[in-house]
Amino acid sequence: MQYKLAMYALEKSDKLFVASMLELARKKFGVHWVLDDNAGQVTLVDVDQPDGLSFWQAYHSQKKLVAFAHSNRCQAALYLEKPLRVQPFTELLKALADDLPGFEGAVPETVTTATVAVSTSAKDALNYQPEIYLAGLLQHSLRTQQAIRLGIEHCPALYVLPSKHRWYSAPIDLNHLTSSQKLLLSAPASSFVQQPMTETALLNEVTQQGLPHYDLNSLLWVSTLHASQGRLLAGHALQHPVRLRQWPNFAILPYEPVHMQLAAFIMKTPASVARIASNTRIPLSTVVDFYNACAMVDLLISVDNSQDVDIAAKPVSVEKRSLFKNILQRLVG
Amino acid sequence: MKEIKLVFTGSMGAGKTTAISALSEIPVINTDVKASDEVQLRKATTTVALDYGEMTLPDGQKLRLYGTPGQERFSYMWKILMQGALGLIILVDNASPEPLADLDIYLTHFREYIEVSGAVIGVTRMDMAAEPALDAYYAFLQEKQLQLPIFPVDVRRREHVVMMVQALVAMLEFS
Repeated sequence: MQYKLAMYALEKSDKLFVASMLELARKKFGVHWVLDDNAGQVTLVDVDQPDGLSFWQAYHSQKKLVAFAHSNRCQAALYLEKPLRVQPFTELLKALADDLPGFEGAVPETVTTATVAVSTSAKDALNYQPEIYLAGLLQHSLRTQQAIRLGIEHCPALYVLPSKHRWYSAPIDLNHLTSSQKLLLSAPASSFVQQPMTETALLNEVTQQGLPHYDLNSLLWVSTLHASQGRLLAGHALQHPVRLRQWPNFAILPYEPVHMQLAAFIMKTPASVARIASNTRIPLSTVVDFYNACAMVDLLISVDNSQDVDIAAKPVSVEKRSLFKNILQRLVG
Repeated sequence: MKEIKLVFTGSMGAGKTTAISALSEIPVINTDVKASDEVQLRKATTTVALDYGEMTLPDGQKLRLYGTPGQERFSYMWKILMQGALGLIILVDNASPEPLADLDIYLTHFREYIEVSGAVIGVTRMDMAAEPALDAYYAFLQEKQLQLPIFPVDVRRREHVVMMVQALVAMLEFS
């Protein structure tokens, strides 16, 4: 059985992401969604866009619409929070399929605009497998010491020089990524055109273009943060404790304030992902993404299970907590 | 009202004054005098008193920023300044002849405080001198049985100084 999804007012990067997630939903839940903007049974509407909001206001009582936005200001019964994340979106597709009559039709072998190359195992789809994303390409380049140019449509090329542990690209602020840059970083490996190069050829090309270089760990880190989507690294367990070898080098690794908190906690107390989330009250998906990123830049050390002990944290007074919040607000405000 | 303060310490020329300037909303008050002969080779002036800057927090409180004098003979002032301090940032000049030995001075003098509250280490001028590398600093701390964040920083960049303070606050939350 097939189900038809339309999209309205979505940005191009989100459209590509949706298209790639349909295949994942098929493999994970066995629900077959296809894109059909003319005959969709459900329409995903970006209500943060003015024309999307107008569409919503005109048709929400007549059509089955899903409001896609940073907040559910439309008070929609069907709401998908931005940014798009794998698990909520695929679960939404499953839930919608349960309520809809399907169409008989041939199951498409590939998605028309983007393909996610995932394992056929439903369990594996729940884990982050770096080898099928950009991080896997970087790891391969490091293992083989093969310099490589990675190209993807509509985005600047990435040049990887493993011998110097560097990558080159058009100037990029990893702490303030655009939506297309985020899409690039979370794109499957199969989306990239891979061009092995000699070191000399690569250096000539990047010098000609005047491209700045960055530490390769920063690309491993940020691509993992964005591609993980709350899925734990394959082969790792939520309950197995780890500790940090050292603090992530936030001078080169992009970070959010929550990453500082996670680093501080894990440096002080070896713990499993589950316990970290529970004790810090930081969402599990955020902890998982951080964990994966630390693993990718070789910062994690596995410890004995006996070390995953729930050590009661010394409570921080309300006054101190308020002071810390004020200081942080002042620093970034 | 109890004073809220952060203390910046570290070797001469490591960047304490510059780091405070990066955060302070007032011109940094310091007492720079012409360097004595033995230090003039390193820099033209040196702080023999202390640096002072401040930031006003959203609730109106003042966060006071103190920079200690770099020379060890003024260590008596270090302890005075640390009384009641919220946090400590240690800056080390990687281009100095013996940066790890420099760091050792401050870790030793502030050990008691660090064991309770922690500290953040900023290694400056790694662009001028790549060694010792960060791994060497972490190995050094491990020998001392200390686990502290260490960042390569350029204290002329406000975002680097902010990063150190953010790490310090994160540590204090879980200390």
